Amino acid sequence: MTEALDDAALVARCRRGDEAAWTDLVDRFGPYVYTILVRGYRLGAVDVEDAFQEVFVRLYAQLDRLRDDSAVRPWLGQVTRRLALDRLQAEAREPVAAAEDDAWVDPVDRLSRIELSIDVRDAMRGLSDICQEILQRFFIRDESYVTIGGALGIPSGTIASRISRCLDRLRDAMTA
Amino acid sequence: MSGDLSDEQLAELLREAPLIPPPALAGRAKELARGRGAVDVRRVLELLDADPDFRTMVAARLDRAQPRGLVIGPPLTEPPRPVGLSETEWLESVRRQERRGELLEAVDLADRGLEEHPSSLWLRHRGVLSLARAGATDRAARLFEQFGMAISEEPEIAALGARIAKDLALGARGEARRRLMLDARDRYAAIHLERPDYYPAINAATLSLVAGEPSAAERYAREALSLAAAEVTPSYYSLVSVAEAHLVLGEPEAAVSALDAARSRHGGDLSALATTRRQLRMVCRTREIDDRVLEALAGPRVAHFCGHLISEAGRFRSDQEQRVAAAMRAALAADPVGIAYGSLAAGGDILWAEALLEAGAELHIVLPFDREAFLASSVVPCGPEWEARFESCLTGAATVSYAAYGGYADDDALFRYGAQLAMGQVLLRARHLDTDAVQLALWDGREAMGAAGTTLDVEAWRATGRRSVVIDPNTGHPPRAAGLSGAAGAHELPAMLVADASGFGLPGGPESSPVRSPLIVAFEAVLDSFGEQVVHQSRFGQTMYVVFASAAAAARCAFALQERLASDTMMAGELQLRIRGHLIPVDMETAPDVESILLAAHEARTQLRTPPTEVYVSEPMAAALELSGERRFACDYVGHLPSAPGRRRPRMHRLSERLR
Repeated sequence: MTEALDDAALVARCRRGDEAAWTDLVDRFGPYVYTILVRGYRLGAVDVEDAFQEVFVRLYAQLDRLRDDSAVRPWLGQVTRRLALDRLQAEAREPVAAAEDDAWVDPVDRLSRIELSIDVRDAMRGLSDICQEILQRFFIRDESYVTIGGALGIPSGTIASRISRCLDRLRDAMTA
Repeated sequence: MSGDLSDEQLAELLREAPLIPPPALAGRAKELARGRGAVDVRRVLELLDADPDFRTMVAARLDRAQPRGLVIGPPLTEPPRPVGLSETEWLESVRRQERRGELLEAVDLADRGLEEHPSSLWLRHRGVLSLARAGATDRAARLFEQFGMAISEEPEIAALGARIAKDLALGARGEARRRLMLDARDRYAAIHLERPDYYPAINAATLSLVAGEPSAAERYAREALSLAAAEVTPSYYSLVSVAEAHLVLGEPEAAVSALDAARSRHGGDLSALATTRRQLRMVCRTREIDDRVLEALAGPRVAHFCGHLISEAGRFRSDQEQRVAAAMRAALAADPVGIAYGSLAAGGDILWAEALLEAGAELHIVLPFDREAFLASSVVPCGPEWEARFESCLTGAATVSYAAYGGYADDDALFRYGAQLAMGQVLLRARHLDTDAVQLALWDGREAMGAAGTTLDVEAWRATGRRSVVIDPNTGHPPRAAGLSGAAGAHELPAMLVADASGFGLPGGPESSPVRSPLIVAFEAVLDSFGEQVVHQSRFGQTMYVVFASAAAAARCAFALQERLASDTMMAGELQLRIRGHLIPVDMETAPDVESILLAAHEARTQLRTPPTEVYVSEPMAAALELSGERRFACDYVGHLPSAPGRRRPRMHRLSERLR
C-alpha cells in the first residue's frame, strides 16, 4: 500500500466520523503544519497556535469537499502558507521575518526545504527498521557511532558504512 | 530532483526533520472530531468553557464563515466604524441608526461619540433617548440623572425626562403606577406651560386620565384640541392627537373622523401606526370605549404560508394546481394579507408566494437551510419549471433568510424548525404592528406523515389559538376532516442564557477566577429552582452560561434572576445586570447543525454588548417564545446587536413580562 493511498484512506475514515482516524491524521500532518508555521514563517507562539488550530478546523470543515483525498498534504501546505501570510500581513510584517542566522535564505527556498525534509521523512518510513533507527539516531538525535553501536548491538566500526548504505536506500526510496 | 540529492544534502534534510507540535496544541485539534456527526451540546459547551484556545479557534471559524445562518434579512454590509468625528457628525450617525430602527446600534454609537466628546449635552440626549426607545428604561432614567439633565432648561431634554417618566409609569403596577403617571403628567404639563404645544398637552391629558384625574385630563385635552386645530396643514401626529383628545373627552365619533383623516398621512410608517393604536387603546380602555373605533388605523394583516409539496404520488398533484391557484387568489381577495413569511418548496409554498406577490404583499422567505441544498431537496425534484418559479419568487421577496446554519444533513427536523421560525416571526411582526396574524395553508386535512410537513405546521399554529385559512387541494375549499392530533404544539428547542453584570466578568476581563461574585451566587440559587429544565450550566470568569430545555424556561429564569437581585438589598441598585438569550436550533440528542451551537455559544461569549438592566434575546429565541404560547412574555425588536466590523450581527429583541 502506498503512502498516497494511506492518506486517502485516512481522510475517508475521518469523513465517516471516525474519531481515531482524525487523531491519526493530526499526528501524521501536525508536524508538517507546525514546521511550516515555525520554521517557514517564523510566526510568534500565539500566531502559531491560532494558525495551527485554524488549519485543522478548515480541513475538518472541508472533509466532505476535498477534491482529491490523496492530495491532503499539499492541500494542508497551501492552507497553512496562506494563513501564515494572512497573519503576517495583518500585523503589517514582512513575509518571513529576517532572522540573523539565515537572513540570506529566500523564503521560497525555506519552504522548499521543509517540503523536501517532509519527503525525506516520508521516504524513511519505507526503509528497514534498522536503517530508520540508525538514521534517526545519527542525524536526528545526534548520537555517536559508539552509542549507536552499543544500543543496537552492532560493531561501531560498521556504523559509518551502514549510514552510507541507508542513505543510498533513502535516495532510492525518494525516486521510486 | 530529490533523487539528485547528495549525502550531505540528505543528511542536512534529515537534521531538519519536522518539528513536533506541543501535545496540548495537537490535542485541541484532535478534539475537533468530537463535534462531527451526532453532537453532544453539553460537550461543546464544556470545551468552550474549559479551553480559551478552542474558543479562539471557534471564533476564527465563525468570523470567516459566510454569514448565511441565523441572519434574518439580507446580509448587512458593515460600514467602517467611525472615529474622530465632530459632535455634529456623531449626532447624525446616531440619528441615522435611529431612523433605521437600529436602537442598540444607536446606543453604541452615542457611547462612542461620548468617548470623544464627553461633555456633549446632545450626544448624551441621543444616547439616553435611544436607550429609552430600546426599552432600557431604568438605565435611561439613571443616566438622565447622572448626566444632570434633570436641571436642563432645554425643551428637548425636558421632553426626554417626561418620556422616561411615562415609560417608568407604564411599566409599574398598583399605586406606584398611579404616582409615576402623575409625575410624568407634571413633567409634560411643565413643558406645555413653558411652550404651549399639542404634543405635551395631549400626553398630560392621557396621563391624567389613566392616573384617575378626569377633570385635569379634560382640561389638557381641550387645550391640545385647540393647539392641534390651529395647524394650517394638519400632520399625521396633529390629527391623531386630535383623535386622542376626543377619546379623552369621551367623543368617539369625532375621534373616528380625525382618525379617518390621519389614515392617509402616516407615510407608510407602520411602526408609528402601531404606537398610536397602543396609546389610543389605553385611553379607550380607561374610558370604556369599544376599541373598534381605531380600525381606521389598522395595520396590514401578517400571515404564515405553507402547503404540500407537489407530487403525482403525493398529497397535491399537478392536475389540481390551477384550481388551487384560483382558490388562493380568491382567499387573499376576501381576506387581504399585507405581509407574509414562509418557505418556498415546489407546490403549496410557491403557489402561495406567487399569489401573495400578485396581491402586492410584502414577502419574506425563510428557508430552512442553504439555498442550494434547499433547491436540491425541495424544488428541483418536482420539475425544472419550479426552479424558475422559485427564483422569480426570491426576486420579488423583501428578505430571504435561513433558519439553520449549514446544509440539509438528511434531517427533516430542520424543515420543521424553519417553519416554526417563520411562524414565530409572523407573530413577532404582528405584535410589533399591533395587527392580526393568520396562517394560509394548502392542506388536505389528513394526518402528518413524517417529522415535518404542513399538518405539523397547521397544528403548531392552531396551538397558539390563531386562525388558519385552509385550502384542500382536492376540493379547493377548506377540508372536511382535520387530522390534527390536537396535542402537539411547536417543537421545543433548547435555549442558552448568558448573564453578567457591570463590574463583574466584563468582556475582556479575567477569564477565570475562583471568586464567585454576588451575581454568580444569586444565579446559582435561582437555578436550583429550575431543576431538570437546566440542561447545562457553566461559568466563564464571572459570566454565567446556562442551557435550558426550552426558550420559555430560559425566559422564566431570566426574570427570576432579576427579581432575586432586585430583592437583595446588598445588590439592588448596585449591580447592572445584563442578560442575553439565544435559541440553540438543534435537538439535544442529535445535532446535525454543529455550527449553530458554536455560533450561539460564541456570540454569547464575545458580543455581550447589550445595555444593562434588561433582557435581550436573539430573533430565533423571540420567535420561539411567541410560538410557545407562553403569554407571560413580550418581545420588542430593538435592532441588530452592535459588534466588531465583519462579525455577524444578530437581530435582537427586548424581552419583557406582560403586566399581570
